[in-house]
Amino acid sequence: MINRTQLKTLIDLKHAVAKSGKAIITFFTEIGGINILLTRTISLILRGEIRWGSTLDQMFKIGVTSLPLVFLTALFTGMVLALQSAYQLRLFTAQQFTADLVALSICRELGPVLTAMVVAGRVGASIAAELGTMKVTEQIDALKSLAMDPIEYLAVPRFLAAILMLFVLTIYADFIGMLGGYLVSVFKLGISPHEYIKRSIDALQVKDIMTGLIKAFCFGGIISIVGCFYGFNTKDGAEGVGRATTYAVVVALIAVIASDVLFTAIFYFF
Amino acid sequence: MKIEIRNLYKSFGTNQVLRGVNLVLEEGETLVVIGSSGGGKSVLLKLITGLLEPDKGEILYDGKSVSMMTPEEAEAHQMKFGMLFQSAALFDSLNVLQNVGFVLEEHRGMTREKIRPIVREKLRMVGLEGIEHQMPASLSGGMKKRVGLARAICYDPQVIVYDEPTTGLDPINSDVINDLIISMQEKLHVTSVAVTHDMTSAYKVADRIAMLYRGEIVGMGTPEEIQNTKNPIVRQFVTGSAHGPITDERKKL
Repeated sequence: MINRTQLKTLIDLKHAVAKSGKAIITFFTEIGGINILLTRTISLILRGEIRWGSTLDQMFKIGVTSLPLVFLTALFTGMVLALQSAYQLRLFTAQQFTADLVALSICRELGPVLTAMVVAGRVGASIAAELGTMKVTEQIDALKSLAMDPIEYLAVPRFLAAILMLFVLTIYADFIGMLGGYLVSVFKLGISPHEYIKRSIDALQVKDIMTGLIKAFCFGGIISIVGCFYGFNTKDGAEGVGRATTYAVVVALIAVIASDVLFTAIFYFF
Repeated sequence: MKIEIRNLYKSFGTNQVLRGVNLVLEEGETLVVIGSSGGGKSVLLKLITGLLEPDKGEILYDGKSVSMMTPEEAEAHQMKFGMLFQSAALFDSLNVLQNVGFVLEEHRGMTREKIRPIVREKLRMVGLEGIEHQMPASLSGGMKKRVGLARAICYDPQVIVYDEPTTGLDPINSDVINDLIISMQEKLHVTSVAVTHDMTSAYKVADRIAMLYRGEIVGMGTPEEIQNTKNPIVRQFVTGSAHGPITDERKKL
């Protein structure tokens, strides 16, 4: 016989198992949904079903309006990186290596990842909020009723614009980040401008820049598809739009970092 | 277009919304489906227009099911329906001209110059003029519904469906919409389906009224027959009484 306390513990355990099971099912359902949306978007692009006008609009919204934030993030990161590395390198009287360290860290890692994070916060959220509002006000149903595929009309332009603009923004962030390092090194650490530029150029290989840009390309895809997925699946009015926006940002950030690990590992071994 | 709905089932998760709906819509008639809020009326409309797929059962359009159509035929079939949404569902980012002329621009590839006179004519049919360049956010609720109706009739559909056309409108604007539904019927000779719980509107526009209750059609007839029905469920609904089988059932649940 079991007593009342044991019975309560058993019931609690049952609820905990049910709850975690439900979370696991939701997790895999969402991963599946995001992949289906990605496949359909890419297949539409391959079939040439692209609205260039609306893609250009989205490129402006995603790319041009993100410039100030990317500028500040990259500049300050470059400056901090130069200061922090100089602090350590000073111990070995190797301050001239600051340029190498800043150039490699920015181009291989920080440029693409920080740009993706800034864009995930700004653009991922705005895609989810816009599409989510369209969903709860029946505008997505209205598109379907007018024989228009919402993926073709809404997801394809955002996806294309995001991958192209993340690519461009990352080049911009790489440059501005190195500029930040340059400013600190030249005006604070006393490294000569000529030496800093020469060391930066020598340290970088085409492979370093390319791996960063390949990452940027994929991060753009992740952010836009995740934003579109949560937007298209919004339910329950204004509260649902808020929830979709939060999920879009959180999931995009986790996916960006997780895929960054994967890419870095692949580039390390090959 | 004649529409036959046979034994239609639809559920969302554990919520069984439709449980075997059977209905026939004759060509050129106006059928009004009445029923409580959340009773599956809008779901029925979305199934008829192909926005949702049924779990079981089928819908035949002039004897043909959508599953028997090729993708091209299915797209052409979709264009036979015009839908007025409950919230009008105008596209926020497009002005009235672009909203009403959406299909003409996107599917028929017409230029703005060719679209403009057609849009003006459709707007005139719903009693609006000179608002082509306004954005949906600057329109009142009644105007939005009328622009939504102009968008739904812009590509000359054979069936017009109205999802709660008078909900959220004042009595005068509601009657304007009722008159528009009747005039669309007279001018365009379309088959119309409306779902509503506004009985004044239902009696005014309907050729026949069907009542949807707990996922099934429980009563059907002309407005006079429905007004004088002996069916206790339909009677409670149309008289708007707080006591009767519908409220008794809710109390049991």
